[in-house]
Amino acid sequence: MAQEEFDKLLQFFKVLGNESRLKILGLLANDERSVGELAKLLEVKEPTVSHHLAMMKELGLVDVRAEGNERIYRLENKFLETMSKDIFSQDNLATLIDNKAENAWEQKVLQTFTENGRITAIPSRYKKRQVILNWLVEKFEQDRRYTEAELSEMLQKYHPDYAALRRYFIETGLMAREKGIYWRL
Amino acid sequence: MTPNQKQALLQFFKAVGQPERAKMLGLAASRPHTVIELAELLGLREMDALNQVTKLQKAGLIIENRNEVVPTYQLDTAALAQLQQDILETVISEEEEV
Repeated sequence: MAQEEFDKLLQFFKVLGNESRLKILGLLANDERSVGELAKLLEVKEPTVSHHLAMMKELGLVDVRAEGNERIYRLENKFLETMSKDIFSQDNLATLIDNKAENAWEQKVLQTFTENGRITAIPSRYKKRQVILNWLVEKFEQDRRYTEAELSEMLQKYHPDYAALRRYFIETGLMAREKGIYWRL
Repeated sequence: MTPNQKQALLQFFKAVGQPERAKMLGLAASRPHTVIELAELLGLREMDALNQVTKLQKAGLIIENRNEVVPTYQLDTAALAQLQQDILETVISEEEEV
């Protein structure tokens, strides 16, 4: 998600993360209201309500029209509906973060634990080790069967403890083994 | 909307109206993460990451998986669905409030 979009969404959260504004939202959901009416219903002063409404208007949550001396506010139903559908879905929440952040972390792990294409140390932390193992398994062909000797020989190019790597491949389900033959899953 | 639903919505917006927590929720929505991962991805100290995770957890947005070697945190999709329903109810509600 772009910074601009993120900021806008964050602003939306901030605006609605306030009890009075959420109440205004509830009130306007029922009917359009003047500032005076809202102030009375919420038991706060009119300028306070106006301030809240201004924030909500800026986000396009509410719309206003003049009627005589009064300003009548109403809810922008469509906007809120779209927002609620957009925000409260898992996929959309996931876009709150830039995928690059994730990749950056993996890159950092790879940088830390590999040098000149070799593994300098097998990470003891599971998640980091997983990054290394995912990287390593890519060195092997997808539809090929490897004998244990072949696999060990190849693994040894990357790190002396080939037996540990071999075991990790099986444990994490990156490879399967049967009768001394290994293959990628 | 019942007071409880309203409270849940308020909690949600308060919880995610802060950049780090919003990002954290985004990460938790993509897949389960450990606190260490969250800290690294967001450039936070582990203690701070843990505090923020705890807030999201208290707001009922994140669930903790204790079955793993290291606990991981992920989005509570059921809670999210409930919130979505609540806010839609607000929009189409016919009842008088207050």
